[in-house]
Amino acid sequence: MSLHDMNPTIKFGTMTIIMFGLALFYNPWTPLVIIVGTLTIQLLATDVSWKKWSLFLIPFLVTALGTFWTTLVFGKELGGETWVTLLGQDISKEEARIAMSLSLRVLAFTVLSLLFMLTTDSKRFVMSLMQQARLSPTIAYSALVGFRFLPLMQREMYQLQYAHRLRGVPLDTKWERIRHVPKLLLPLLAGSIRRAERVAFSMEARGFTSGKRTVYERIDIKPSDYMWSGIFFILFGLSIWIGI
Amino acid sequence: MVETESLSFRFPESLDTILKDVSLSIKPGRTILTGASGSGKSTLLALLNRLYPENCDGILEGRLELLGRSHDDYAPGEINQRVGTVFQDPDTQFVMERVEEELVFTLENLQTPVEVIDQRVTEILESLQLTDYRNRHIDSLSGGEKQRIAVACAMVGQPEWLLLDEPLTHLDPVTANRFVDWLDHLDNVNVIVVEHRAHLWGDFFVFFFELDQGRIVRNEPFQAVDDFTFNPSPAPRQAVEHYVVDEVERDSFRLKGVTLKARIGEVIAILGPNGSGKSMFLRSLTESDRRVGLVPQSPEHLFFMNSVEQELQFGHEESIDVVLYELTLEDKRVLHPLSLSHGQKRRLAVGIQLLSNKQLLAFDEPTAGQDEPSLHALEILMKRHAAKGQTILFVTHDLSFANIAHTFYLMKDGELSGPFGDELWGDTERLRHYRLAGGRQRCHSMI
Repeated sequence: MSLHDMNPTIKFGTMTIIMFGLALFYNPWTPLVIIVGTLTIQLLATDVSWKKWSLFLIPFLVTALGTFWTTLVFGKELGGETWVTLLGQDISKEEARIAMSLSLRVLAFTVLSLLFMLTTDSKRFVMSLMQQARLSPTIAYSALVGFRFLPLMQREMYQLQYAHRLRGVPLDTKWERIRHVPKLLLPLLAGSIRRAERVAFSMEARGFTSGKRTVYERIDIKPSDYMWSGIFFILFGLSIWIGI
Repeated sequence: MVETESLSFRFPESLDTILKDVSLSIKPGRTILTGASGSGKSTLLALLNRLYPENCDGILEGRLELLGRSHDDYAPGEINQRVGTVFQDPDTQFVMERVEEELVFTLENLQTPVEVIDQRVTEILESLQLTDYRNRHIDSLSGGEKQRIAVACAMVGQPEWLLLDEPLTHLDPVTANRFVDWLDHLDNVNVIVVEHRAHLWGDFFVFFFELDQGRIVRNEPFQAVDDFTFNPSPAPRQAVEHYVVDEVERDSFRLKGVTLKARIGEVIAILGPNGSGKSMFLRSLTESDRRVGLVPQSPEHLFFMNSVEQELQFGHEESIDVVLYELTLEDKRVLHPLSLSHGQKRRLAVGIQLLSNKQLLAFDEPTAGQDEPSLHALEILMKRHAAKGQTILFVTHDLSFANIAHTFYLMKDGELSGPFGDELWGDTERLRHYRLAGGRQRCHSMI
C-alpha cells in the first residue's frame, strides 16, 4: 500500500489544502512537525530515491537558509533581551522564533511538493484529473502532447546553437549562451507552432474531438485513498495542536 | 468513394485558389495523387478526411461527395471512423508514450466499448505483424517503425479508406522499400497516397492522378515510373586540398577519423543509410576545419537576424551586393529570413557561407522532402558553385540525386570508405552491403 498508488487528484487536493492551511499558523513547531511527519511517510511508504530528492531539495534549502538569515538581520527590531549574539548581531528569542517559523514554512512546502512530485506519474495525474476533477479531455491531452514536445524542443535548441556557433557567434561560455537566447526564441517558436499544428491535425484525423469518448484505463478512488488523506490530515491536526 | 465536380478551394487570407475546377472520381482500390510542391495535392487530401475546410475556414465551391454523402453532411470526427490517415512526419503523429496507449487513445476517440478495446489492439497488432511493439516507447523507434505504428493507429478503427500523406519523406530508400512491401500486404482497405516520388512505390497502385497548380492534369491507370534523372558535373581541377576529420565518440558510437582529399571544383557525395554516422561526419568535418561551411537540412537553422540583408552582413564588412545578385535574392533584401521559401532559404544559407570565405560547402541531406523542380534548382546551384572553384560535398541517401557527383564515399558504422568513381553503380554487391539498394529499386540512370 504505497503512496505511489494513491489517487493523484485526491493526493493533489490533500497536499494543497495542507499547504494553504500551513500559511495560517505562525510558529516554528507546526511546519517542523509537518516536515518530520512527511519525511517519515516518505521513508516508510514510498521508494523515492533519496539522492534525487536531495538534489531537488538543494535550491529550496538555500532559499530557506536565506529566508532565515535575512529575517534575522533585516527583520524588524523587536527589542527584548539579547538571547544570542551571532556575527555581531544581537538576536532576541522572539526574533529567532520568527526567522525559524518562516524558513521552516518554506521547507515544509518544499517537502510536501517533492513528496507529491516524486510519487506521482504525470500521465496518471492528467488522466485522474480528467476522470475525477472533470478536466476537459482537450486540455488534458494537450498537456500530454506538451510533455512529449520538451525533448524535441531541446534537440532543436542544440541544433540551432550548433549552427549559430559555426557562423561565428561566440557560444562557448554559459553567459554567452544565455545572452544569445533571445535570438533562438523566434525560430524555436516557429518550430513549435508547426509541430503543434501537425499534431492537432493528426489527433483530429484519429477522431479526437471535444465530444464523447470512452475511457479504457479507469483511475478509481479506493478506500485506501481516503485512509492516506486521513493520515495527512491527522498529521496536520497534530502539528497545529503541538504548535499551539 | 470520392466524387467531386468543379471543386475549387482557397484559404480565407489569400485570393489564390489552391484547387481549381477539380472534377474527379476516386474508385475503390489503390490511388496515387501526385504533383509538385504547391500543386494542391495535400490540400485535396485534407479535404478528403475533412480536416479542411473547417480547421482553416477555407472557402470551398463545387460538389464534394465523400462515401456517398455530401462533405458538409458529416458531424465533426464522424468521417474519421471510416477514413484513417497517416502523415509524413513520424515525430508529430503521436500523443501518448507507448504504442499500446496510442492505439487505446484512438479507440477511445472512436467511442469503442471498453470491453473490446484490448482485443482490438491485440488483433490489429497481430494482423500487421507488430505484436512485439506493443509495449515499446514510441520515442525509441526508428522513423520506419514509427510510420508502421502510425498505419496501425489509422487501421485500428477498421476504416474503409486509408490516406497517406507523403509517408516516405523521412525514410531512407531501403526502409522506404520495406515499408511499401509491408503495406502491400494490407487487405480489405482502399488506399489513397499523396506522393511526389511515385518511383518509390514500384507497381503498388492502380489509379493515377496528377495535379498541377490546382488542376487535374492527368487521370489514367497507374504505370510504374522511373526515378528522376540527374547528370554528373563537369570534371574538377587538379589542385588538391586536405581536410582532416577528427575521430568522435558519442553514446557508444564511434566515428573514425579520416583525411578527406578534395579537388577544387569537385562534387562529392557521401552515401549511407539513416544512422550510419553521416551527420556526425559532417559535424566533425565542420568543427575540425574552418574552411568548411555547412548548409543544414533545415537551412533556417542558420538564421538569427531580422532581414536577409542583416543576415548576410553579419560578422564582416564586405559588400553583399554581388552575392545577393548571384543568388537572385536582390528583391528579398529587407524580408525576414524565416518568411522565404525553402529554395530561397537554401540560397541564403549558401550566400552566408560564401561571404565568410568558405572553400568547401557541405550540404546535410539537401534532398529530403524535395520535389523534382526543387531538386533541379539544387543541382544547378551546386554545379554553378563547383564551376566557380568551390568544393561541394553533400550527404544523402538519395541515389538518383547522387548522380550529380564525380566522387562518392560510402559510410557505414561510422567508417568512411572510398573514394569511388562511377564504377560504384555497377557494384550492386557493395551497394547492398551499405544498405543502399533495395528490392524495389528500379534501375537508375547510369552514365
